[in-house]
Formats: sequence, structure tokens, C-alpha cells
Amino acid sequence: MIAVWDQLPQAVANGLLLAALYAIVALGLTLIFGVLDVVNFGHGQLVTLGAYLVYALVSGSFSFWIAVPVVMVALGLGGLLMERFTFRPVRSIPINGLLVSIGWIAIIGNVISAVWGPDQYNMTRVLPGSLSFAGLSLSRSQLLVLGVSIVVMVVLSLVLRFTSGGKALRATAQNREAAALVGIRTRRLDAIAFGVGAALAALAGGLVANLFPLDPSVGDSYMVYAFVALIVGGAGSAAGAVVGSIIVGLAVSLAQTFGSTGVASVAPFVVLIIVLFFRPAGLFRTDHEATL
Amino acid sequence: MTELTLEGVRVRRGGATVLHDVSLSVTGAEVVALLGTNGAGKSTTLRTISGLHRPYAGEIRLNGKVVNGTRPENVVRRGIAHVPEGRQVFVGLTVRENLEMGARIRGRLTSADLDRVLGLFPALGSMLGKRAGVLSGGQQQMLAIARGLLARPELLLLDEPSLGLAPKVVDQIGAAIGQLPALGMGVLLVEQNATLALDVASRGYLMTGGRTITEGTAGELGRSEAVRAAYFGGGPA
Amino acid sequence: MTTGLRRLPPWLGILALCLVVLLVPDESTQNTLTVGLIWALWAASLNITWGYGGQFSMAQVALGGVSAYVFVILATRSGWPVFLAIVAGIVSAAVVSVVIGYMCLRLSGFRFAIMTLAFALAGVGLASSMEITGRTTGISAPGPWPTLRIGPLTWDLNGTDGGFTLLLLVVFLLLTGGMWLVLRTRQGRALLAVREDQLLAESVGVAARRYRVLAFVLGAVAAGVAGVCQAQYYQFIYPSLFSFSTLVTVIVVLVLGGRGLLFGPLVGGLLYALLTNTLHIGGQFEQMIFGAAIILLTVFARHGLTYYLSAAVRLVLPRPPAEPVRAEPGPLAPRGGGLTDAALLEISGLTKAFGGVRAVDDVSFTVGSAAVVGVIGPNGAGKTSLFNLVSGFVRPDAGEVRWEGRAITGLPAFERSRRGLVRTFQRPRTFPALTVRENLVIAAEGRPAHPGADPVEQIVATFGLAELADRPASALSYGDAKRLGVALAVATGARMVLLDEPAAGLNTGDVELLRRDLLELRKAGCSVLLIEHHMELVLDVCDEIVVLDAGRVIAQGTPAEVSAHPDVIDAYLGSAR
Repeated sequence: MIAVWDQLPQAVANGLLLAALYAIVALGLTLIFGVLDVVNFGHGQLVTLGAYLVYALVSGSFSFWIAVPVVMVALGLGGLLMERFTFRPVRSIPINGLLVSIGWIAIIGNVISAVWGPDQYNMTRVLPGSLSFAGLSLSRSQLLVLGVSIVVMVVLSLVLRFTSGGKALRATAQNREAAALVGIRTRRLDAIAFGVGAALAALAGGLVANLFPLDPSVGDSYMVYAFVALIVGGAGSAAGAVVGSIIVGLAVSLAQTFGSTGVASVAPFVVLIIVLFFRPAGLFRTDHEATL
Repeated sequence: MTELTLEGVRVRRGGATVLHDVSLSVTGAEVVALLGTNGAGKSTTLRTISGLHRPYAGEIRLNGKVVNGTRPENVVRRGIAHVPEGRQVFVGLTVRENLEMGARIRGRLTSADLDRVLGLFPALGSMLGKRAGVLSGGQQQMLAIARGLLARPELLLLDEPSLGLAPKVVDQIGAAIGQLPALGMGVLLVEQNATLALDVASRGYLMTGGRTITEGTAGELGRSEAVRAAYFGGGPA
Repeated sequence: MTTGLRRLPPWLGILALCLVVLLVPDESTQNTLTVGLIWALWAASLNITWGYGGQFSMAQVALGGVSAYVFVILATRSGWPVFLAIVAGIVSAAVVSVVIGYMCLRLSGFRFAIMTLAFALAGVGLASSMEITGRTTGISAPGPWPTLRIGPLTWDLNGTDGGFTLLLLVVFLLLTGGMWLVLRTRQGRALLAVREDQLLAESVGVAARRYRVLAFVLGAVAAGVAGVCQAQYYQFIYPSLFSFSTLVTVIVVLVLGGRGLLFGPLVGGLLYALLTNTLHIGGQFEQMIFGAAIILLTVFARHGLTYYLSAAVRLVLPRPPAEPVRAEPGPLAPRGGGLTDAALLEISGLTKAFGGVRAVDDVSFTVGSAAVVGVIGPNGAGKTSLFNLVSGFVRPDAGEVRWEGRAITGLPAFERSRRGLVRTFQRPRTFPALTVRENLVIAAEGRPAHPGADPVEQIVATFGLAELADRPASALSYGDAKRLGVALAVATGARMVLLDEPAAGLNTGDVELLRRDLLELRKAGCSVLLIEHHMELVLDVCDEIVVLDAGRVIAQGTPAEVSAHPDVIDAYLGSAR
């Protein structure tokens, strides 16, 4: 019993650090889902691609701090193009957006395998080592993730709340037709939302590369857990995505500490199943009106 | 002065023609009513003007220039704002943010803008920081009209502004619409409530079955047997 | 004759395939066929749940995994006979799917997809962590299956000479034939109805939720079969065999072949195997091509290859003109007892608020047998909300609905429909991919058998739909779709139909037809509750009119009384100032 209490603070800390990474991915997914109604299953592949590209640049003796923004811009532009040429034509039927994203899984995933093969790669880490604080051991690269994640959340919420473009984005997510009628260029916002979502995936990828060895499926679990977080929180709500990420992060970490890796891999889904069973629209989604 | 003209406009939706022949014109500072029962094609006409539907035949001309197929975000930039049926405010944005979205094509929402809008709809004054979703139906309707006005259009398309509102609110909104021509703004008003519409309009058109069939001054339409027939079927009344 | 020819091509193809399997012992061809058939089985499973059931399930591969693990574990560790172990595997996939199906009932679209994916990934996680499933390493299958001997014939089910391939083909054909049969039953048609439009299905008496679970369970049985075959083929199973990437391939195969088509999975599976086994340009590049293909198909050709193949066949061998079925427009005998004076429908104190606005506020009135009652009022007065409450699509906050003297306030919509209280929708709803006749057959399914003329043909004739009977409902004009909506309600044999603005958007001629139909219905003893803005029609056909404004009844009476009522003129034409 005492051992449990001893382990708890560390488990919670680890959970929050995991949540920070999930949140970056989940916020990108939320932007894309909120504005475009697309469930982008290809997001995990974007995370993986981001990780490999950052790795490639860093091995090519670029600084990590330069490589990450460069890859974010590159994947952001790629996201704009993906939206323009593959998602926009199928907009009218949401399930088709899901199919297109599955097509992208096959394309991006196999580009990665073709270029880098199945081997594992280790990037030279920035910020190695760890800090001890109040009996907790926190790796510095994970603290970087936490810091970046908080910056992303703050910047994103400031942009959405206070800039004209951010408000226009929210307006479009809430009522696309009315948004067009007041002169908001909704198609441009679609592309931008997808681009920003892809850039956030790239950012998450860069951070992953600085934490773990890379293999072609490294991003998959982040996509899956981010989806769980997104839906637990209530799809389309940025605050929901963050809260959902924290719940999932804690679930994984507590299950790892007090259960086993097997339990940990099941825990987020159990959470999701329980939440969706009682609240089919997720925890934070309330402004959904039934129409007949 | 701005002039919008529709000539022989036809629109198809989901395989069926819903507008068969719509011809009308609205000029500068007048309120023009578009009357007709449900399904006559009034809303579709407004949606076609604002670019939400594309006509397959006929012409929409703005100041003599054909503007068929212009996308809605550009129609509003050409000076035609559309306040859609059912209010359609941005429920998750505050009242002020909704107004900002209305003014967006011109830039920021200035305090002069705000004063003018609150002059027309004083009820919104105390609500600026509230989420639009919590407003009452009447307040949402006022917000929707105010949002449309902030684009400073030369022409305002108003779709069923009295829908589902209490009579007192309807009177307020009617009064506000009546003031618009004096501000240099033309209005094309779609209304089920024929009395209200003919009260504030100077001219009007009657639509049935996707066609504009009668045109006349408000007085003429008010006495018209055709209008009576469309609403009351010519039966005993 | 021509009809026979039109039916030939898929069967010819299957026959050719059997010959190839038996006569071409070339190992690489055999291998391509085997792999293609396994993919076809997986895709068939998704096809049942998604293509026919309309639910995009991401749990199919994992359900197959359940079956595979149960089969392997029972056959190896518990020493069950192989055949029993197979059956147990498939049954357990079905049992698991019932549980998941019920838990996912309230979800649709992408939420259903993600929830099923969550179950799938949880399952893979479990299999990776349990001793009995061999964790991530996996476990060995029970080894070769016995050879079947029937008289002089022997069938080596593992055969390198094509025995196993033939087995897969037979299994696929049995599965597909089974589905073909199911689709010809009442249950199969209900399945399609729910896929096409769940609300409309409920309104004509289909227990939609039950059929959603059924689609999921049937798909799981097919997945169970696929899982066992996969286990037998690889002779070794491990969790990632049933993971997300396999699922992605299954989706690719089905989209390639065409969903909602019986042979779509076979075409997709064989094509997939053929391309991957013959292109030899490296696995990754093939997968990329398939990824691009799925995007292109979704963007440009969303029906899948089988659809276009059969469309091409139809072009060469055109469909013969259907033999017109002649039926006289006849009386529309509704079910239930004869005419009684008792009130059929009694509404008392019905109230419903949406976010503070009382859409329906303390509404009470009754409708008798063979009566036409109009509900009028300005837009937003609560008329459609009232219909939603009466037909059971929305639960009231207060008040009661009684039908034939019994309270039905708590009954779901489909139960009310089965008791003869049927609604239509303001925006015309149909089962778009099905023909007009199929639409009507589904609606008429709940009707008690009636001697004499076929009720469907009779309704086709009465509603003047004969010319359109073999066209898909999606091709109907707005006016015709509205007519079909009314016809569907009548086809159920309703004792009362609730018609929501049947005349809206109709031209004068169609309104005339509608007037005739309404009077015909009353003559046949069917009551009508009619929301309508077309006042001429309302004043003409209604025995009684209820006027709603702001959710409340403001007037009630005969057409003459109501149209002279000052409040009505006020509510309708607006306050005279």
C-alpha cells in the first residue's frame, strides 16, 4: 500500500508528460475535424513523417531547433495541398473524407518504409539527462515537450479567441453557411486548418524523435490516443481535446505503473468506451441540437 | 444607385427544378417584399442571389453586370448581405464577436458601427459579452440583422425575420426594417407575415410554384385577390 | 432469355475461377488466388456491416481475430475436434459483436467508427499481453486439416494442389449465397431500409436498432470465418495480424471492388492479390499505389470497380423492359376494425420545450376514425414538433398520447407505426438507392396478409407510380418523392397517417392529385392528420382544423369556424395595424 502512494506522484507526472504530447496531436486533429468535419486517420503518418524528416535534417547536421520549424512549414504546406486536392472534392459526404485519409495512410506510411526501411533510428538528442524535483525524476526532453505543448495551447487559444482570423475559424466551424454569408472565405480556412493541423503533427513528430527510437509505426499510437482524447473530450472542442489528452495520459501512465504494459495499452480504450457509453457526444460537447 | 435585377432565373436542386422563372428587381433605397406560401421558392430566390445556389438559366445582374455563380463570400463584398432564415448566428461566439464577423469584410468593428447597430437594436446593448447561443429567439434575430447591416451593404436580403417571434418583437423588428431605406439601404424582404411585409415595403412580388407571378405596390398587393388566394386559397375568410 | 444472360457473367466468372483453381496447379497462381480469396472473405465481412448495413465498422478484423484465437486455442490446448473449434470460434466472434453492437447503438457515422476501432485496439492490446494468446509472439494453429473422402472423390483441404483454395472459394460462395438469400427476405430488406434512411425505416415500422445490431452480427460471423481461414493459411497467429494495417487493407479491397455489391469483395480481393503478387515492384510501392487508388476512387468513382463492370455488362446486355404488372386503383383497405365512433387518437396536455422555448405547449385534441384533421399555423408554431411527439420520434416533457384507447406515450416510433399510426416527413424521405417498388414493399411488410390484390401493386396504381416503379427513388423529382412519401405511409396499412406539408413545393396538378388521394383515404376509413400551408386544400378536405401559434392551440373547429376566427387571421396574416 505504501509502495502505491510512493509511486503515485511519479506516475501522475509521467501521465501529464504523455498528455502534453497527445494534446499537440489532438489539437491538430480537432482543428481539422472542427472546421472540415474530416476524421483524419492519416494524422499518425504525418507524425511519423515529421519525426523522420526532423531526424534526417538533424543527421544532416542541421540544428534540431531549426529542423523542427522547417519540417513544420513543409508538412503544413503539404497539408494545404492534401486538403485542396483530395479532401475538398469529397466534402459533401463525411465518411468519404475518412476513406481518403485511409488512402493517405497507405501512401505516407509506405513512403516512409520505402525511404528509411524497417530499421530503428536514434536521433542525437537535444537536452539529454533529467532533473530531480521533489522526489520526482523528470527527463529534460520530456519537460521540453511539456513546455512546447503549453506554448502551443496558449498560442492556439489566443489566436482562436482574439484574432480576427481565429474568430472566423470558430465561426466557420459553428456555421459554415452563415460564415460564407458574412464574407468569410471558408475554403481558404479549410486549407489553413488542415495545414496547421499537419504542422502540429510535424511538431509532435519532431518531439517524438527527440524522445524515442524511430520506426515506421512510431506515430500510430499517438494518432490513436489523440483520437481517443479528442472523442473523450468531445470532438470539435479545443478545451475538450486538452482535457481528453490529460485523461488518456493519466490512464496510460497509471496503468503502466500499477498494472502492466498490456493493461496500459488497453486502458485508454476502456476509458473511451465508458465515456462514449454514457455521453455519446463526449464530455465537452453540449451545443448539439437534434434536427429532424 | 445600386440595382439588382433577376431575369428568368431557374434553379435546380437535387434533380428537381425549384425555381422555374424568377424575375424581379430591387433598387437603391426601397423595401421590396417577396410574398408567397411555404415552398413557393422565396428562400431559394434569396439563396440564389447570395450565391448559395447557382442558377442554370437566367441572369442575376448587379448594376448591369452579370454576377451569376459568384461565391457567397464575394457576393457580400459586392454589397449584398443576406440574413438567412432561422437566424443562424454563431452560437459559440459572443454577441460582440458575431458583430465583428459582420463587419469583417470592412475591417474592424468600430465604436461608431456599434453605436449605429445598438441604436437600431438597443436590446443587444447589455448582451455584448454573452454567447449568442444563450440569447432568446428575438434577440438572435436582431443580432442576425445587425450582423448583416455591419457589412454596410447597399442591399439587404432578409429571410423571414418575424419567424417564431412574439408580436411585440415582430413590431420592433418591423420598425427597424422600416428605417433602413433612410440609411441608404435597399431591402428584399421575404416574409410569411404578409401584413408585416406590406406594411414596411413599398413594392412587392408574389411567388407561387417557383415563379414570380404578380408585381405591384404594397397597396395593390394588399388588395390583390391573387395574394389572398395564395394565402387563404380564395375560400371564405 | 436475355434476363438469364444478364445473370450469367458473375457466375461464368466464378465457374472460370473454379476451373483455374482445379486445373492450374501452378504454385504462384494458386497462391495469388488463395491470398485474394482470404482478402475477399475479410472484405465480405465489412461489406455486410458497412455495404449493406450502412455502419462503418473498424472492428471487423479484430472480430475475426477473436474467432481465430478461440479456434486455435480450443483446437490446440483444449484438444477440441477441429470442426467444433471452428464453430466455437465463429460463435464467439458473433457473441462479442452482440455486446459491442449494443454498446455502439447510440453512435453513428465517425463516432461509431472510432468506438469500434477502440474495441478493436483494446482487443489487440489484450491479445498482446495475455499468456494464453502467446503475447506478441503468437501461437501455432492446429496443423493440417483432414482430407475429405466422399466415395471415390477425395478433397485434401490443405492441398497444395488447390484443395485449400477451392475450400476458400466454396466458403466465399456459401457466404455470398447466404447473404444473397438474406437480402431476399423481409429481414434483408429491412436491413437495407435502415442503411438507406433510419428514420424513415422506423416510421414505416422497422425496428431499426435491432437491424443495426443484426448487420453487425452478420458481419462478425463472416469475419469469424475469415479469421479461421487466415489462421489456417498462416498456421500461426499473432496480434498484429489483426491490427489496424490489416484493417486498412480490407477497406482498400472493399472500396476497390465496390461496397454494397455481392461480388465486390471478390473482385477487390483478387485484383489486390493479383497486383501485389505480379507487379513485383516492391511491397511499399504497391501499397502506395493502392493508397492513391482509394483516394482516386473516392473522389472520382465511389461505387467501386464491380459497379462499373456490371454497368458495362448492362450496356452490352440491356435489361429487358419489365413486364408491367397490372393492378386497378382500388380501395385502400386499412388494417384494424371497421369504423367506430370512438376517438382513434387522443392527445392531452402534450408539452415539449427545446432550450427554454416551448415548441409545443399544453396541446390537446382528438381525432376520430376516418376523419381528416388539419393542423395549421404560422411557421415555427410547433406543428412539426407536435408530429414528432405524436409519432414517437421525440419524447414529450409532459402530456399523454392515447391510441385506440391505450396510452402509447412511451412507445418507440416503429411500434406506433406497427399499430397503424404512421407519419411522413416535410422534406421528402425515401430509401434512395432502392426502386420505388422496393420502397413500397418494405413499407407494406408489416401489413397483415390480405386476400386479393397485391397491396404494393395496388398502391403503385392508386398513386400513379406505375411508370416510376422500377426507378431508384433517388431519381424521382421533388413532387414524385413527396407522393412516394405519402404512398409509403399508406402502404403500411395505417389507420391514421400524419402528413407533414404534403403539398409544399407541388405544382397545381400534383396538389389536385393529392386532394383526390386524401379524400380517397378518408373513404377507405383511414384518418389523416394534415399539416399544410396550402389553405385552399386544407379548407376543402378537412373535417376539422386545429390552429397552433407559438406552440399553443389558439382555435379549433370546422373550416368555416376557423377561417372566420379573428385570432387565426391575426396569427396568419399578421396583426392588422
